[in-house]
Amino acid sequence: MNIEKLYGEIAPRLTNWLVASGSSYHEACDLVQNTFLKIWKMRDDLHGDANDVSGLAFTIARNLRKNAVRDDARLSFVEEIKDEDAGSVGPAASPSDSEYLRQRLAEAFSKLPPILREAYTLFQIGEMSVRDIANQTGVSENLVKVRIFRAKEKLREILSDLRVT
Amino acid sequence: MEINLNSNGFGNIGIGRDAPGVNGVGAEAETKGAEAKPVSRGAVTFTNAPTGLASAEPVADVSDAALNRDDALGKLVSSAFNLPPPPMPAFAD
Repeated sequence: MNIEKLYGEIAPRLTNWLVASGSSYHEACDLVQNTFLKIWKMRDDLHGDANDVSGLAFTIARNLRKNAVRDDARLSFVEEIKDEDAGSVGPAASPSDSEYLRQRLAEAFSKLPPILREAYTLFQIGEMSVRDIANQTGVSENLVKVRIFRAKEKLREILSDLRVT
Repeated sequence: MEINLNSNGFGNIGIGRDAPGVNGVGAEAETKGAEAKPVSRGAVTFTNAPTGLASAEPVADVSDAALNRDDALGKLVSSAFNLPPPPMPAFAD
């Protein structure tokens, strides 16, 4: 198993999915690292296929977060994620900057029903296929598509002032 | 009392508004039982759930175009959530 290669492929998507679905950036970073430490321990049972490991990583991260939330209920949809915390984007200069957008989008995601939010964020930010999301969430591929579509419609409605079409 | 279990075009089962004694219940019911037909709403075609069976969510065929990750909304989301991952942990045996 080439863990470095898998980390490079999966960790960025997983980090951003965790942030978009309610974790703070720092929590997401902890979850991603702990997820991969678990995968590393399981390496003898895995074949190293990127798709399989990707699905497993999202499942582990989700479960780790559930346990953490159960412990201290620390989901923070509207927590501000400062650019300097993330380190990859420029400083905020106008409301159109990524920091502002993340805040707006995080708020919009928090207004979605959980099943729509999960399907959409896994699809758009987790870059998972409809089939993999169906496997992850235990529903049909058609239903996953409907949930993504409905989430997009709802988001466009919530974010109408941004004129997202 | 007659109760008509209808598909309302969204796949949910409603109780017909014209059913005696239950006026106003299931007010979104649009069609009756066997008359119910798929309803097309833009990129989505909703298919009726079988009469008498409750469905929590609509069953539908969504076109691939409607799931485009690179539309304006998708680009906005992807650009906003482009945070770097944490450093790779040290993997020790």
